[in-house]
Amino acid sequence: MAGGAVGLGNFLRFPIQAIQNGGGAFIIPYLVSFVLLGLPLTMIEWSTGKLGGLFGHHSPPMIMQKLGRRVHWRYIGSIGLFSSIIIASYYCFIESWIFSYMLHSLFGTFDGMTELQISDFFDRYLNLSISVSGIPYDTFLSFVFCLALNIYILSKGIAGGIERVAKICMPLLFIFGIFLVIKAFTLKAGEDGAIFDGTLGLNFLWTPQFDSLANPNVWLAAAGQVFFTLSLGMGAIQTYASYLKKEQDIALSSLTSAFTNEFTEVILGSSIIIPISIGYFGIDKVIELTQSGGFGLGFRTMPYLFEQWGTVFSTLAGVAFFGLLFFAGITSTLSIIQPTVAHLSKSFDWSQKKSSYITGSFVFFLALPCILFFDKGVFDEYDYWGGTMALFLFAMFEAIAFSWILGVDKGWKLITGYANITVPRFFKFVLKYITPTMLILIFISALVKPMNDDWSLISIHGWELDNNAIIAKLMHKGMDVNDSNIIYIDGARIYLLLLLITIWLTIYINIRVRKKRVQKHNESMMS
Amino acid sequence: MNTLPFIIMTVVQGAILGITIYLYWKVFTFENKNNEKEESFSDDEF
Repeated sequence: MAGGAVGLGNFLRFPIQAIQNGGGAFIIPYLVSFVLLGLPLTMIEWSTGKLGGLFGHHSPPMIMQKLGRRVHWRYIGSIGLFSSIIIASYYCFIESWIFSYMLHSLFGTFDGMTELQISDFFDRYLNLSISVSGIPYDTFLSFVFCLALNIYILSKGIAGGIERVAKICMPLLFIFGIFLVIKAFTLKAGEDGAIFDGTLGLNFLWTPQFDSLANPNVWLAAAGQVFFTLSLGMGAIQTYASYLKKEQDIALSSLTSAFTNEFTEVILGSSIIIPISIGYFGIDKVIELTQSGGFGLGFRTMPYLFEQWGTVFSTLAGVAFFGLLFFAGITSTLSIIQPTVAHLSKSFDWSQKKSSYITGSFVFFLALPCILFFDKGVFDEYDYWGGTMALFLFAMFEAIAFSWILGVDKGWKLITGYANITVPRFFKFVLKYITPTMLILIFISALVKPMNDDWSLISIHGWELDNNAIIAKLMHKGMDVNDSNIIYIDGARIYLLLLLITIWLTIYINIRVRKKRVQKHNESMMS
Repeated sequence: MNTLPFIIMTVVQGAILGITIYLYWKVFTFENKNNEKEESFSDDEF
């Protein structure tokens, strides 16, 4: 599972989130969220997944129903499917960028380019009307190839084989990552084309800014990043753990998976793209580059660093970096798509192959607006609602169901039963009180955040929402009414809402079909 | 690099590295002991 957890979130999403949320302003909420939300929720997902598996449930809606003991929890559990399929759609798109960049590195596309040309190359690559390789619609074709590859692996049930390949690729990615960290730390202004020291970026990230602790949106972004990177709130861990045997350990496995991920993110992910991009562009320009089109910073900067090492080494480094990242991406995508495949397979008694193809079609049509209208803000909408909000909501309900409905005593038994490690009892207290309360508080305060974070003004001037409050975002507060992107943003939101309704429909049909089956069975028994 | 961010970075990254190494040591130590465990909880409880 560590193979699935380590992925693009560590190397590509974390730096963007950290920069967008003020560097040092982000790191404290991030670390606190990891300890008080990330670790407890990792244990919750592993244990509830195993619990579901013991009763033959392998998809998030069924597992949540088992946990919440009422049928409406199955609908709440669908949020896990909703987030996983949205993330799968744009994750697969990013995977295709990586694949293309690996080929471009191999064929020397970046040879002789300046840092601005390489940054512009990324914009041109995402513009479907331009072909950067000479092959028409190369960006789209690359996405189709990557999606087809993922679905083929899932349909053939050979994800285990990929995991074994990942076991070789992952240590190689770590070794290459450590090499890049050293390069980032030693990047000096005036050398290798850099205009600032790499350490400027590290100062930016690690100088704490305590005023951010009162900003719920930074907390929401930090918690969202923790969930995204640990694959929490998307049902991936639950689905994986549902196939574990009763006597298998989950305490040590879940903690090892979480810390492997944090090692990759906080030690490697934070020390590569942030110092390198700030070294080449400066803080202001990097902040500007990360305002939209999340995940893109690494594509704008890393090829330029590699270009400084000469033709042969730049090719090797580009192929190694993007190639290893591609493998990390595939293992993650497989684990993200699996909950939907399991849901369809169990709900309609479809084969793995059929469920994989239908899930693949869903992902394809869901990704289309993201690809076609990338520059209109659709990608960022997907990442916000699917990659942050939905994860957060699912995690919040999960924590409430685990700690307050199932009961923390039973839950603690699930976590520590058959464990290969002693889990500190402090976490039992955290699971019962801190995690659910913190999730509820962050969610409510991000929902109705007042203007400029000044909660004291509420009583004096009434409740004027900040532009970043969730409700304000829904109402496009702060946007120009004539902004041409609004129609695309609204379109994306309606599309996502339709997806959620479709998932609810599959659950409703499943409940009806099963009820009828039970009725028929009872009637036949009576007669 | 400035002193305060350097100290914070070193402490945080050192702690994560230390815990990760400890957990992997535990994984390799306990890898073959799964079958020797006694019943920890019963399905009926859930």
